[in-house]
Amino acid sequence: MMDYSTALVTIEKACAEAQHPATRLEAEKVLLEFKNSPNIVPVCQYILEHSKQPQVQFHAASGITGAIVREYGLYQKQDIRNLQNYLVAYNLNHPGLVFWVSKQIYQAIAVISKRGWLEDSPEEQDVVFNSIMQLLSMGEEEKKVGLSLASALVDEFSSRGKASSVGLTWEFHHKTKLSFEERHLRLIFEASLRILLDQLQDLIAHPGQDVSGKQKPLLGLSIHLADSILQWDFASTNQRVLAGTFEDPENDTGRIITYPASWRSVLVNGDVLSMFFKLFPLVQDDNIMTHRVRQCLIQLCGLHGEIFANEESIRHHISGVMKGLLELIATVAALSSDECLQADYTDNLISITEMIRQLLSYHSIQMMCSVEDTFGFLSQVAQLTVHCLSEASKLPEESESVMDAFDQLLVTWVKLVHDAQAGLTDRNSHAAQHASRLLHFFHGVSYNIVEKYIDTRLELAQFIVTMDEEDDGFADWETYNDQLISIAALARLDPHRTLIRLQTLLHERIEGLKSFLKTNQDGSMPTHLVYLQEHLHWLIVITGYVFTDDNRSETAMVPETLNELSAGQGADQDQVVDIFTKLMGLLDAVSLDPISPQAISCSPQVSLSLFWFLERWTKTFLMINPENYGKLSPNLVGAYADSARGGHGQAILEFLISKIRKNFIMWNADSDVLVQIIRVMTSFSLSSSARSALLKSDQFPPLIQFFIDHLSELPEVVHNSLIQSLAGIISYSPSEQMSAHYFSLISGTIESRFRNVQQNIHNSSQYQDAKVVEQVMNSLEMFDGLALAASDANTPLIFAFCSQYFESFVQLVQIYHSFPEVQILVLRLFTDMTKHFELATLSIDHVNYYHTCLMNLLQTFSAANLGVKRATAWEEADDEPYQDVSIVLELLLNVLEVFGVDQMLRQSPNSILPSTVVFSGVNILLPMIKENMLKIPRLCTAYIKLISKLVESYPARLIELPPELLSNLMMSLEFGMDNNVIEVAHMTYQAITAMALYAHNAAKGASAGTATIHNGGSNNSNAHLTALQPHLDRFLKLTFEHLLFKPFEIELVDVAGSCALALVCARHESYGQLIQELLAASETPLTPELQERLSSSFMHLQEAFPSQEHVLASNQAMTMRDVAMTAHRREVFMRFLMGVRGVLRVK
Amino acid sequence: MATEVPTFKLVLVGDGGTGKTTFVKRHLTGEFEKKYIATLGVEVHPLHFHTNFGTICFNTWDTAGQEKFGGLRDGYYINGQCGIIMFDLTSRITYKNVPNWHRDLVRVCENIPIVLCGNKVDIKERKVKPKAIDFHRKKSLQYYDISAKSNYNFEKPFLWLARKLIGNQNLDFVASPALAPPEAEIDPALIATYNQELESAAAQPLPEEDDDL
Repeated sequence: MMDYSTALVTIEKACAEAQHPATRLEAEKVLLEFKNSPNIVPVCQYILEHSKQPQVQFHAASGITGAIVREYGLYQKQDIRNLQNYLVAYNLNHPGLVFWVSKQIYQAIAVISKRGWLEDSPEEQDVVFNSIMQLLSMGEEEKKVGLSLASALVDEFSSRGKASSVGLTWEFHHKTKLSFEERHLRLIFEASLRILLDQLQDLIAHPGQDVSGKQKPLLGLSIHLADSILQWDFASTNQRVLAGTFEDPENDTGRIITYPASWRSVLVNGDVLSMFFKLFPLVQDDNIMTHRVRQCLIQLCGLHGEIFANEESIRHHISGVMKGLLELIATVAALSSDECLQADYTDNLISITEMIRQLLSYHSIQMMCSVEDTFGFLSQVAQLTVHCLSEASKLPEESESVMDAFDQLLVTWVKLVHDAQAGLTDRNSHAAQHASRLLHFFHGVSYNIVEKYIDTRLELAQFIVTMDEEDDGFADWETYNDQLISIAALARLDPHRTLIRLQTLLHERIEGLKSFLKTNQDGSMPTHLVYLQEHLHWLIVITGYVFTDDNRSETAMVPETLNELSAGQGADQDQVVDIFTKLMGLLDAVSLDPISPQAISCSPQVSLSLFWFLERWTKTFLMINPENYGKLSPNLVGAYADSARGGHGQAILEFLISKIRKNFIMWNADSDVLVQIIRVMTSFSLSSSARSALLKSDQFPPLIQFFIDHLSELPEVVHNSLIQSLAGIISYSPSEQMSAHYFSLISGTIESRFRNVQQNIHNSSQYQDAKVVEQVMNSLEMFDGLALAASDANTPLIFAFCSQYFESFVQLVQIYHSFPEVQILVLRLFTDMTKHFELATLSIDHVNYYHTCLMNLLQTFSAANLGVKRATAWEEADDEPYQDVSIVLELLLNVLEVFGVDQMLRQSPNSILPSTVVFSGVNILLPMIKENMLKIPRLCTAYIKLISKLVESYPARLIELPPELLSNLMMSLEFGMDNNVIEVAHMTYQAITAMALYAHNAAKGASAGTATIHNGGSNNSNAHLTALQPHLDRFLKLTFEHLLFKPFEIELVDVAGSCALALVCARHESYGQLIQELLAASETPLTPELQERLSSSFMHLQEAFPSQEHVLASNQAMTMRDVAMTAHRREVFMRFLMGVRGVLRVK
Repeated sequence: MATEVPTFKLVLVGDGGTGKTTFVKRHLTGEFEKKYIATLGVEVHPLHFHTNFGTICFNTWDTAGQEKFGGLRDGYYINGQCGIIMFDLTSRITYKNVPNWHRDLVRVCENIPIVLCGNKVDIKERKVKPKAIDFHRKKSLQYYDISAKSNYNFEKPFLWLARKLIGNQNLDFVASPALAPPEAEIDPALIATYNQELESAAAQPLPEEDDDL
């Protein structure tokens, strides 16, 4: 050990040099070596005494913390005590220290205190606490030190991820936290409140002070301390976590803090709440204090649970929060953003909405209604909601964060409405009464919000139009989906008024647009027209949400209140029908000849939105069927049902067909619009009544012919979905003949294109030509459209057509061996065929042929790609890295998941079974999969899914594999076990379980001399099974290692538990030995008591094992059910984990 | 001249692979300056921005790789005046680690303005949903979705920090900093492979714009 003064000089030099790029690396090494050397505490003390440089002091202080953590056992208790006292005194004697040095010193004191906690007597545990209390009773400087030290202590003992790593067990951290929580936390909180109160009184008594952390350090520190304590995760009231989980619940959304009943006297006490409410406006000049006070208030507004002694005290609390919030709303939110800094303003606004949400989250509506001022309060909240919207339209740049506040309130409203609606049917008549009163109130309030929302969207339109659009590639209905769903829910409370508003706004704008198009034929686009079209877009979107839900099931229903509204209105007064008619008038007006000058004045956005609307509308209203409703409005039947029911559905359908044709030509260069139109056609095909009406219509044959004729003029990106949509519709043709006729139209087009392509690709001077490549890809896209449309109805038809070209497709992979984009499309085509073909409707020969082609495809792909160097960085910067590998994985998985084919093929000898395709595919693929690919979550998930599924479905075939491939597969499973992606780990455990059960059953069968238990097992399986054993032993070891020592997701306990049970059954002879080895490897030194505790934990675990008779019964194969997690087993497992992980997991 | 430019130490932290370095490299001046100190464990890039209040400079400490190599950890944060914590929107674990980075940062740099950035918003498979990102609310940080790849919101974190540091909401960037054009980022390894391929493929004429390998 160098002498102290030399050390000082060395460290000072290193700190200085660490500032310069050229010397940094060397200096860092010196510092690290110093901090890691033994017995440096006295040196660090010497440095603290003699250096004036903060950097140096910083490293000395953190050196002390590190040394104590490493060498605690080497110190005498008295030395530790002295060191602690020294550090407290050091901070007192050096008031000018920079904060990041003093913080390091406080941290050192706290770490020392926690480190010795469990060995200390209660008196010893109180030492630091007592000195804090003493400091807090002294002068300002001492109070500062006291508050800072208390904060460091709270951080160090908390479980919020703030504790330092000290190399001790989870149970150590947990016990010290619990003990600190019970003994000191509340007292420290009370002390911080006393200081806070003094500070508040001072602020009130001497108004106009400069309120900043610098000027009012005690205020800042006491607020900080109170905030940390209010965020404490109480061990006594909050849900149990898995022992050994050093979790950081701070990032868990919706984390709820429940304060224990013992805090009642401090917290359920109007004084604390009102103190923070009073503080809030007074600290506004300091945004850090403001933030912390806001966080405290958010917690206090959400008090709930056992902290309240009775209902009366809940009511008192609610009423106090409401009073405080009303003042806040009045002073802060009612201000306009023009009068204060925008950022502070929106932060305040968002926090207030969070406080409101907290208040309204925990109490029943019955409780809320029994508080006197609730309705007045809710009215103010409604006004605030409207106010947020006003602000949003004023500050387009900040509108996103003000909209966050609005969204928060919106969610709260929708929840209240929902609760009230649910409450209507409450058996308790009193509760039902409250609910109906609330609903009545919401009726009025919600319309105001909806109206303001519509206005705001229209006002924002002008900013959106003028702003440089930073297009994120998402449509408004994707970006604002949640918001619009909520708005629709509110709008449907009072649909009459909402629809009047929409009718008026739509009418004005539609007429405006029509008259513009009539009078201006110069193709101009003046600003007001741009706004008008943006308005129309938003009105259409909002109408779409109010009219329909985004229902993915076959029958989407008309919202109840709209149906009622319609039923109560005369046919020519019907608002629902009227709005649709208006929109169709608009569609008619903007469906123009593309060469007409007016067409240039039309906006693709409006047409896109109209067809988006129609997609939703079609599913709900077109050919509406009264049988799905108790009572369907006659107006809706008359307007939209089929002619058999006296409705005009058919006429509307035909109108839509003509508009689809027009718009396909008009927007033929705008693929977004085209894709949306195709979606409308697809939605026709989803509803059986719309579909059959379409097929019956005279307009349908010309429509098909129209698409066939124009296919070559349409952008290539729509070919795939267009063919899919058409093929989907025609497979429902009333007669096979008709279906075949239509199909021949489509296939004829594809065929002639592909024939053309085939000529070019065999010409060696042409095949690389960009145009030819494009043609190749385009034809593949078209074939893929057919594959996507395949179903049980049309598989034979589509297969018959496509199979003529299977070999050509495979050939393409060969020809275009250096064109990954072509290969990817071929792979995609086979993947989609595998997924969508109903192979069971084909003959065995056909399926065998298909499988042969798949094997050829994989071989060819491998030949073209194996050993090809991939530019890792390039691939990983891509949106879909290693796309080819990813598609092959998907392809194999699809083969594995085809249902019923295996059985069918087994009837005929020499069939190529799906498992044969997959095993050979995996064999080809494995050498191409590199470790860096598995770092990509999506690829990794697909890969492990395939491997797991394979192992799970064909455990018997595993032993037939060449040893190298087998160990490759096993390595992959090992990799999957502790993968970050829970889904991956989950599948892996399932696969290992299946494998272990298979091995167990096969061994049992072999030893009992009975016939093979698992089909596919062979007579010499005994020898092969031996090959599996080392792998099973390895998995047994790994599973227990994960359970005992590693970070572990609680969601995995079930699968990992079942896996452990299955492995223990299969490898019983290895289990006992394993436990001994595992414990010997523990980081925690095993004292006799610990030894005892651990072995009893393992003893108890045996209760979860399947019974011996069952395991050994030779006539019964064990299944997943035998190792499934029953409630009892789960209980045993959790107890086991709590028992062992608490002392084996270390931080 | 350089000394007159107000300069702030910006600490850039976050899990490995979240795109910190790519983010910094987006700024061309940073790319140029980098050559001076490229080999060190922490890379410092001075990034200049022109505002309506004059030029300012963020001396950006890109702590890339430190999670692997140890280094001084919080020692790098000393005297940091502002911070950016980066996570990857397509990887939940990187968001889970945000509180740890924040804790370490504020222990040394109390009360500095910090921006939380969710990177790779350009990738459709977003794993961390917007609603799940609420850490910044609790800690009074500013949050932005960004894409280092497509430059989406690239300036936003710097603008917010500059406004906070200068204490004026009216501060604006006057001319866009020269960003590397999107997609133009070229990996040296890629160039190497590319050249190699070019040589070996000399016999076969390649179409002109073929940049797929």
